[in-house]
Amino acid sequence: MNYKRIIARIDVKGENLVKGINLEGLKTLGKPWDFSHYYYNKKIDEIVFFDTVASLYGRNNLFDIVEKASKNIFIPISVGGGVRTLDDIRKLLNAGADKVILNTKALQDPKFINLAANKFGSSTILVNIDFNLQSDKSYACFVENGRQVFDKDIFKWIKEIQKRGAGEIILTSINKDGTAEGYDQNFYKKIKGTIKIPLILSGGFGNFEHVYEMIKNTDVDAISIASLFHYNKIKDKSFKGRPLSPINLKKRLIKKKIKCRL
Amino acid sequence: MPIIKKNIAILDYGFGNIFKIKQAVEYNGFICTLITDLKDIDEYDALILPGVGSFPEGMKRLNKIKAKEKILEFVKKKKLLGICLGMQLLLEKGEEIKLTKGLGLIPGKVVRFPKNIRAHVGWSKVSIDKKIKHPIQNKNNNFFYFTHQFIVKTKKKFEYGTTNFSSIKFTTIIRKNNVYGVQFHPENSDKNGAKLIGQILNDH
Repeated sequence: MNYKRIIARIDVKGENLVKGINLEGLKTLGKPWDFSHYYYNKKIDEIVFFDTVASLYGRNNLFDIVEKASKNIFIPISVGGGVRTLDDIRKLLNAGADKVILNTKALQDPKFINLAANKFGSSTILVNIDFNLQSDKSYACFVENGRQVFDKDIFKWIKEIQKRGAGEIILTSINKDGTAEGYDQNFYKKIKGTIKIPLILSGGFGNFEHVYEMIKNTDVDAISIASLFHYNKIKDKSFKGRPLSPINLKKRLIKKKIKCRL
Repeated sequence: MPIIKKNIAILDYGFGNIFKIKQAVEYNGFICTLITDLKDIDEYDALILPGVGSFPEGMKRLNKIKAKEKILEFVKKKKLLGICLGMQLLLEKGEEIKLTKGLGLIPGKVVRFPKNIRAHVGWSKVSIDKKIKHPIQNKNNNFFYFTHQFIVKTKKKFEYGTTNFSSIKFTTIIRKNNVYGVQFHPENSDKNGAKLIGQILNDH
């Protein structure tokens, strides 16, 4: 087994770190840079920032936050939310991002993945899919941070992303996001074996067992975690899961023979 | 006598995030300057060649600024550190997309991982040869961050570090005289990585 990555996901609205349930009802928890530096000191492997409103209002206030939040942090930083042009990517890289995450723009203009991967290198371009379980039990792709369904077959889209040269893929479960119920296992079963690039799962991880079982039983490369870490840092009891710090999560994984960096 | 800080140049030829590398260089107390061509390269004490992306694209951009001759001249006296694609470009040729000539500073070539293996993205241990002075002699703490799909093949005598990933062992630190290369991203490898940059640029 290779070393698994534990990623802290920081959702940003304006100047604040926010977190909701099912990507909605966003609650302000603190400043993004306080969290990023805290997680860095607690041995997180990577940090991902998502601007939750950039794409909706067509603006991008992330540059300043990324610069502040990645200062003196020597681990990879990925940034997504409202990335629409090659110039957006260049600016984010200049602000301190190592990788940039596409979602809405990639669905609207799939060739943009090829374009961006050619220009900045495949490993710099990640594609995130926000998916949600529909009333007919099917899965749909969402854009604008989970606010709007996009008419595209999600399983075909997963294949297409890889062919177009994305470096990694993030699969974010809206139906599990913030719930602390664990990742959407039915969805994982449907995509199993179809992913040839590094795979990051996001949404629903609420305790140690959720993370451990997912890593142990699947071919996932990285787990992206928000509430589980945030609520541990701010000592807030309203989260339904069992919060813990990145370093404690990793120590427990290592005890259970999962390979992690410490 | 005043302490004169070394001035390290990073060649910015349009790829990825070089600001992280700058930050890691400055962590060691060096002055760091981003340059977009090699006209004034003699003013600097060492050169870092970064890079993410494909081998042919990397060489295309280097050839555009006529990098090869200037680098060959530079490394006669001063150090060069290639990072990730910047390391791969030091070799004689690359097999990514189409067979492409590299800078040829170190004998060997760049080949693909077997097709059935996902790209190597994440932390792995590096066994660092004693020839490289590194503060991390503790074998449990020699993690570095990687992101690549291609690996270098060179002669044993130029191999200064190796890594195991998906049951494949490959070269991850190379050196020939003043020319060094690391497959991983030291700027994204926590303080270990930043310190390694300092060691390479200072001590040898």
